Amino acid sequence: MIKDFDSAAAEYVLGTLSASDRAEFEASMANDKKLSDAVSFWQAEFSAMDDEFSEVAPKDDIWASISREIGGAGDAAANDNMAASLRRWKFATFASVAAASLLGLFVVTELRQANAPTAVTAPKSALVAQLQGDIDGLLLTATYSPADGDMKIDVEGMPETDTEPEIWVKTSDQNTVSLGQISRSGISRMTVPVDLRAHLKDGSILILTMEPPSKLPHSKPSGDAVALGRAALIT
Amino acid sequence: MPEAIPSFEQKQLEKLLAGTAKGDKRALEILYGKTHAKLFGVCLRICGNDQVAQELLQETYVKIWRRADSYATGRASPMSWLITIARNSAIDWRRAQPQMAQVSDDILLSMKDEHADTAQKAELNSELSDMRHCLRLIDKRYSPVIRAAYLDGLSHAELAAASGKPIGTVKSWIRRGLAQLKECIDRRRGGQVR
Repeated sequence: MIKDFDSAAAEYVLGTLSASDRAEFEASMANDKKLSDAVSFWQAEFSAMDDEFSEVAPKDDIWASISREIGGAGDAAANDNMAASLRRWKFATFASVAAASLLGLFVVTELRQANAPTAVTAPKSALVAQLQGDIDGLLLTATYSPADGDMKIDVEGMPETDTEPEIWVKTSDQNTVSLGQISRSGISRMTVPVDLRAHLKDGSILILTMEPPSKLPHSKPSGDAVALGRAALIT
Repeated sequence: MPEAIPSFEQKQLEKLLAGTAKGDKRALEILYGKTHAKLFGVCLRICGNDQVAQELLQETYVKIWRRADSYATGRASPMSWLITIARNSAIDWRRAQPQMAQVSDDILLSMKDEHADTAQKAELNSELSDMRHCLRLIDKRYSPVIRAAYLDGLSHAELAAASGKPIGTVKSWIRRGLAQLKECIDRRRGGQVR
């Protein structure tokens, strides 16, 4: 007979829990051996299906990127261009922060986002923004690649709420356009729709609001900005 | 039940994970060499995009580097633990898309194939794992959605779209399917209930 905790553990392993339910489950699991045992049970059972995942060789040399990201020695030269750009960008950003009246600070703290595989052989320009607000510890780091429209957003310190984080960009006519909802923690990835990419440029303002859960972007924010930051172009 | 990975290989992977947990980058590199094709296959199947899958693979091994000390020998096989990290990364990406990802024709086809497969209960034999055995025994409506959720990372909404059923029905199928799986697995193990 399946029990409630078994059912939750099975859906957790299956991957069908919503982001908020999953976070809640993981918090519970940390202090509940019964739950963690149930997760182990289902993981072991479902792993019998793992042989249906084919082995596929990636086209690019991913190890080089991983090695750099975890702090490898001896291969830094390949990334000198991007690192130098980031240093220049940091300097420019520190100078501009003093003049900015926004709540956000726009400082790159990690080289990780810039070390995506596509940047290894030919570093490309990228927009980077850090979003902050009044919530202590809440920090979002957004990295956007104009070349292919890919955006990564790393979320740290999101408090528990009934609502979901949604990212907006301010347009030149001072309206806001949603880029969609993101995960409450960790790295979210999205491909920005082609018709919205023109709004993402050096100096664009990114805004975080908390909205009712939705698979589709909302037409306008329902509340005030929780965090915001200005994007800066690094080349 | 046959193991997916020979014991010797499991021990090798466990040693490499232990080395990785101690900050031995060479151990992670060897681990990468032995496992990246499988984990890339996981990422690619769930996200359906080669470039994204490569980024997810990178993210996966960075997570492995950071979390290797949380791997508990004996709780799960090392390969299962690694696949879980890759799966979760790919599912997180899939869920974070502003617009719901399309369900590919391949997935729809595999769901239909599973209907046929489920009906062939004559194929059951003792060599199958408990999960595979029981997936063929449970209600034929439940098995395809559970398989598609696990192997393709589909959400409730995507499963509803793929099956043409309301989302509430799909949620109910998954709950009932998991309950039937649990009963079947317990029964197959001689009535052992945790």
